[in-house]
Amino acid sequence: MRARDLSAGYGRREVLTGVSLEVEKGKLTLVVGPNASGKSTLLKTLAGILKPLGGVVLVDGREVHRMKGRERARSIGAVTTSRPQVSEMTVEEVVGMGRYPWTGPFHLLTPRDREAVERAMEVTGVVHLRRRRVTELSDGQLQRVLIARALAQEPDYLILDEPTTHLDAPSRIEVMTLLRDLASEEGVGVIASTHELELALRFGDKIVLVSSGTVKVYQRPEDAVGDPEFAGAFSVGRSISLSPVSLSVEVLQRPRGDAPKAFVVSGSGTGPPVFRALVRGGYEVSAGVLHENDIDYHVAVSMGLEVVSERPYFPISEGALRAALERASASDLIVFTYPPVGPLNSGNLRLLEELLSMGLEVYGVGSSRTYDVPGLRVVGSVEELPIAGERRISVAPALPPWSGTRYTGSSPRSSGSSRDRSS
Amino acid sequence: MIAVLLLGLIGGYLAAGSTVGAGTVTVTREIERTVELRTTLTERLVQTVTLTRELPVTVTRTETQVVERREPEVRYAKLFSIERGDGYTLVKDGLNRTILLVRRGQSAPQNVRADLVVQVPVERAVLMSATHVALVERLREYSPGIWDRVAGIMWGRSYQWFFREVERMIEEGKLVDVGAAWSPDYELLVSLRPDLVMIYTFEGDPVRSKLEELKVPYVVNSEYLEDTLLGRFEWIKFVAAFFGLDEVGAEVFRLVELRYQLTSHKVSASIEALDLRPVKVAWFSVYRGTIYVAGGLSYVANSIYDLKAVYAFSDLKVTGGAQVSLEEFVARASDADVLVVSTDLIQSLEALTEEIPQIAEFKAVREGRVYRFNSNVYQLGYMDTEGWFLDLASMLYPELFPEHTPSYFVAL
Amino acid sequence: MRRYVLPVLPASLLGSVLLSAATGSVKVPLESVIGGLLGFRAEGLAATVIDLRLVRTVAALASGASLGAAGAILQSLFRNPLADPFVLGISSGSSLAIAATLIAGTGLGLISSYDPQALYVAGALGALAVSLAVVALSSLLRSVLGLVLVGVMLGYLASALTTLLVITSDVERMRAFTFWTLGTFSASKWSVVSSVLPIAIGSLLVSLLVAKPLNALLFGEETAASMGASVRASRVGAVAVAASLVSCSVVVSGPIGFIGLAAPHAVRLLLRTEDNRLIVPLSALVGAELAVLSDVAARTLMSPLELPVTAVTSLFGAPTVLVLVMRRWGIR
Repeated sequence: MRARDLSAGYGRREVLTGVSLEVEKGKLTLVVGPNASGKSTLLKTLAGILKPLGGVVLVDGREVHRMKGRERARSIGAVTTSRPQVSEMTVEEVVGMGRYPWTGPFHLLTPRDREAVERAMEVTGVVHLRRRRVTELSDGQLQRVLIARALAQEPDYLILDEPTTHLDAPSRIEVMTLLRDLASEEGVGVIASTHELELALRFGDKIVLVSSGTVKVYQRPEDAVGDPEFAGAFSVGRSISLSPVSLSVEVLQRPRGDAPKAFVVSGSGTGPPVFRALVRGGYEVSAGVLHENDIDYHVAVSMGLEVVSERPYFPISEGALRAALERASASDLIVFTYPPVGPLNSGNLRLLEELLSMGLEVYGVGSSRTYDVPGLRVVGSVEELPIAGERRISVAPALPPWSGTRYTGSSPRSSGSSRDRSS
Repeated sequence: MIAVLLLGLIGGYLAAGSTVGAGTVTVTREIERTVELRTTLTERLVQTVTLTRELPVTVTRTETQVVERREPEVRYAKLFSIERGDGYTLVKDGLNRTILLVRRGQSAPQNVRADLVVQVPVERAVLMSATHVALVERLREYSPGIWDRVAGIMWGRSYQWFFREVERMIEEGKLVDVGAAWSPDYELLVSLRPDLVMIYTFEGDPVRSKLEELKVPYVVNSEYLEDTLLGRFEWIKFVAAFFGLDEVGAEVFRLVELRYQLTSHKVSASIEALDLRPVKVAWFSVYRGTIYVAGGLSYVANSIYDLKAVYAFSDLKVTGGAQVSLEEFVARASDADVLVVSTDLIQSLEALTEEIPQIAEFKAVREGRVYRFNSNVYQLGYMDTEGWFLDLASMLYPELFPEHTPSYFVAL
Repeated sequence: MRRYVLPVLPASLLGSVLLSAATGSVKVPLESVIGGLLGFRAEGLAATVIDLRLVRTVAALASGASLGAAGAILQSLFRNPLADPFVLGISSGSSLAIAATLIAGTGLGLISSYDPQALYVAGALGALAVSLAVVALSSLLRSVLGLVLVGVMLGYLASALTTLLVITSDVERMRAFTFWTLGTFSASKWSVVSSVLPIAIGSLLVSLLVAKPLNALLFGEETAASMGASVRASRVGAVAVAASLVSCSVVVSGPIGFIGLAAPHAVRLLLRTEDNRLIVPLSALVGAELAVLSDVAARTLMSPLELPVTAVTSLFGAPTVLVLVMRRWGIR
C-alpha cells in the first residue's frame, strides 16, 4: 500500500500534506504523534474512508479511493475508534459481519466464509469466547474481537486507529503482540496509531511520525530515537528524553535553581526508582560511582543526572572515588541503595566509609537488602526518605480515615542540610 | 310571344285562389305549427306559430302558451327534489342520486332510470343523525307506529337524547344502537338487514364507500347544508316519502310554513306600526379563543333577515360558518342589541367574559340580552322549527312577544 | 429460546387471525368462520359478516406488518430504541399528505373520492418528506431523546397543518378525520386493501434486503464503509423502504401508533439478538399480530362504539416508552 504525495483532511480543511509512505505486507508500521496531529485523518484516508484532498493512495497499483466498496473491503480492513452498538451480538456474529464484502444480499455464510471466521478468531485468540455476548467482554477482549472482525475480511492490509487507547496495561501489550504477530506470521500489512511511545518503539518495524502537518517515516525505531526532531515533536519544553539503548522514555530532571542536592550510590538496577523519586521530590540528583555498562548509568544519563562514572569492567579508580566524594559531601542528602557488590565496585563501600567518617548522614534504602553497612540510617522504602520542603513523594502511603486529628508525617521538617543531627 | 307569356303569368296568378273583388286581389293561406318548447318539473311550454299570407305580405303570428302547470313540490329546499309519476315517486337526494320509490306490492315502472329503488313504506330503516330522528318524531304524531319501521340508529352514545321515547326504545332494545356515525358497527348494521339507511355524508366519506361496498341501500340527507330555515325543515317531505307519509309530510310542512310566515308578518307589521328601531344581532361561538360566526348567507342570517333585523356579519358571503378575528368581532358586535352564543358549552356570562374579556363592554351584555343554545336545540329545536323561529323573534323583539319564553335558547 | 420462538410466532399469528374472524357483534358459528377462512362461502348474513371481519383482518395484517418492519428499520437506522413511525412524526406527515390530497384534491377535482393509488403516492411522499427531515435534523441532535423530540415536533407540525386543513372543511368531516387520524380498521374496503397489499408485500420483501447494510451500520458509518457497505445508499434505501411501508399502513388504516415501537422490542426481547436479518421480518410478524389483536379489542371493548386503534395500542405502547426511557437514564 502506497501513499504518494497525499494531502489528507476533511472537506476543504487540509490536515496533512506531502505525505508519501509505504505500508509493507508482513511488517507492523506504527504511527505516533502528538494529539490532534492528524493520525486518524491519515489512517482513514489510507483506508479509503476519507477522500484524499490531493495525491493518491494505491493498493497493488489501484487507487483506493476509486475502488468499489466491496472490492476495497476485500483488500483493506479497518478498525476505528467507534464502539459498535451491537450489545446483543455474539462474538461469532460480530466476527461473521467481517465477511460482508464476500456474502450475498442476505449475508448467508458459506463454508468458506465460516472457515475465514474461524481462522480470524483463532489468530486473535477469541475462539473460546465465540458464544459470549459483546456486553460480557472486557475492553481487551472486545478490541481483539473487533480486530478479528476486520481480519475476517481476509484483507491484505489492516489499518487500526488507536487500538490500545482505553485499554489497561496488560491488554495493551496483548493487542500490540497480536498486531505484530499478524504482520510477521500472517503476512498482513498492519499500520496502527498509538499514544504509547515506548510500545511503538518496541513493537514497530517502521515508525511514522505525524506532526506539524506532515509525516516523517523511520525505517527502524532506532532511527526515530536518534532523531532529535522525533523527541522534539512530543515534548513540551523538553521534559522527556529517549534512551537509544533502552528505547525508553525518561523524564528529564529539571531542578529549580535553589533545589537541594541529592547523591545516590547504587548499581545494577537498584538506582532508577530512587533517582526518579528524588527527582520528583524536587532534588537535583547526582549519582556515582557507576560503571558505564550498568543500567543505572544509562537511566541516569537519560534522566540528565550528573554521573561519576567508571569504565566498564574496571574497578573503581581513585580518581572516580575522589570525584564522588566531592559531590556527595556537597549534597544535602546521600542515599545508598544496597546494590550487589563485587570486586569491581567495592570501591563504593569505601566511599560510604569515608562519608560516614566525615560525619555525614547516609540513608540506606532497601528492605530486601542482603547485607548491612554499619552507620547508615536505614529506611524500608523510598517513601520514607526525607523530602525537601513540603513536597512528598507522589506514591503516598495509605492514609487512615480522617478522624479529626491532623496527620503528622514521620519525616522531620528539613530546612536544608541533612547534617543537622539534632532533628 | 311576349303577350302570351304575360297573359299566362297573370292567369296563373289569378288562378291561385283569389277572391274576385272589384280592383283588389287577396290571397289568404294559414299554416299552423305547434312546437313543444320544453317540459320541466313544473310546467309544459308549447309554442304555436301561425302563418297567414295576405298579398303582398306574410303575417306571422307566434303564440306561446303554458299548456300544463304543476306546483313544485319542494319550494324552499335546494338540495333535494320530488317528482310524482304514475304509481311511483322519483326523489333526488343530497348527492343528486335518483331514487325510485315504489309502493310495496306494486311493480316498478319500466323505463324509469334510477340509482336506487326503494319499496315504501320502509320496514327496517336505519338513521344516522339525531336530526333524522327529529323529523321522524314529528311525523310520529300522525303515525304512531312509525318507529316500528325503524330498526336502528347510529348513536354510539355520542350525545344526550332529548327524545324520551327514542331513548326508552334504545334501552329496551326495540331500536338497535349501531355505533357512532363516523364509525358504525357494520356487522350489526348488516345483521339488521336494513331496507334503507339515511345518512349525511361528505367528500371522501369512508362510511359511504363502505356502504357502497356492502351494497346496503342508502340515501343522503343534506338538510344541514340548506341555507334557509324552511329549506331545512322541508326535508320532512323527503323523510315522509320513505315512510309512505307523503301527504302528512306536506301538510306538516304547510303548517310550519304558515306559522313561520305569520310570525314574520307580525314582526314586520309591528315594526312599521310602532316605528321600531332595527335590531342588530350577532350570532357566534367561541372555543379556546377562536371566534366562529354564522355566515351572512346561512340559514341563521336568513332567518334574521326574515325578521327584519340586521345581522352583524351579513357581508360574510358564506352559507356555513366562518372564523373571524377578535378585533373584527369586537368592531361589529359591540353595538349589537342581541348576542346569541351558538353553543351550550358556555353556561354563564362569567365563562363568556373569560373567553372574550372585551365582551363585558358590549351593548347586549350591558342590557342583558345575551342568549345561548339550549342543549336540546339540535333535536327538539329542529323538530319544532316554527318554535325555534318564534324563540328567535321573541329574543329580538321581546316587547312583541311578552308572554313567550324561549325553549331552545337560554338567557345568560 | 430461539428454537421455540421461531415456530410459535407464526402459529400465534394464525390464532389471532382466527380470533379476529370469529369475534364480533353478530354471532357466527365457528365452522362457518373456519370455512370462510379456507375459502368456502357461507350463506347469507354469515357470509357478509365474515367478509366484513376478513377485510379488517387482512387490513390489520398488512398495516401491522408494515409498521413492524418500518419500526425495526428506523430503530436500527437511528440507533434509537424510541424510534417508531408515529413517534418520529412520519405517520403524521403521511396522513397530512393524504388529508391534503383528499380535501384539496377532491375539491380541485384532481382525484375522485377515495382513490387508493393516488393516496398511497401522496402518503409515501409525505412520509418520505418527514423521514428526510428527521434524518437531516438527527445529524444535528445525536442524543436519543433529541431525535424523539425532533420527531414529536414534526409530528405536531404535521398534525397542526392537518387540523388546519380539516377545520376549513365542515364539521362532519372534522369528526370523521379526527377519528381517522388515530387509526381505524372499521372502514376497511377490499378495493383499498387489495390495491395496497401488493405494494406492502413488495416493500416488505425489499426491507429484507436492507437488513444486511443496517447490520453494517450498527458498527458505525466509518466501519461500515470499510466493510464495503455504501453508507449513503443504504441510508437512503432504508429510509425509502420505511417511508413506503408507513405509507401503506396509513392509506389502509390511518396512522397507528406504537406498533412500530413495540414489535421490534418484543422481538429483541424474545430472541436476544441485534441481527436485523431476523429482527426486520419477525417485527413484521409481531406487528401484524399486534395490529390484529388491537383491532379485535378496538371493536369489542366498548361495542357498539368503536375505539380508535391508537387508543388501544397506547395501552401497551405508553408503558413501553416509559420503561425504555427509564432504562436509558439508568433508573431501575
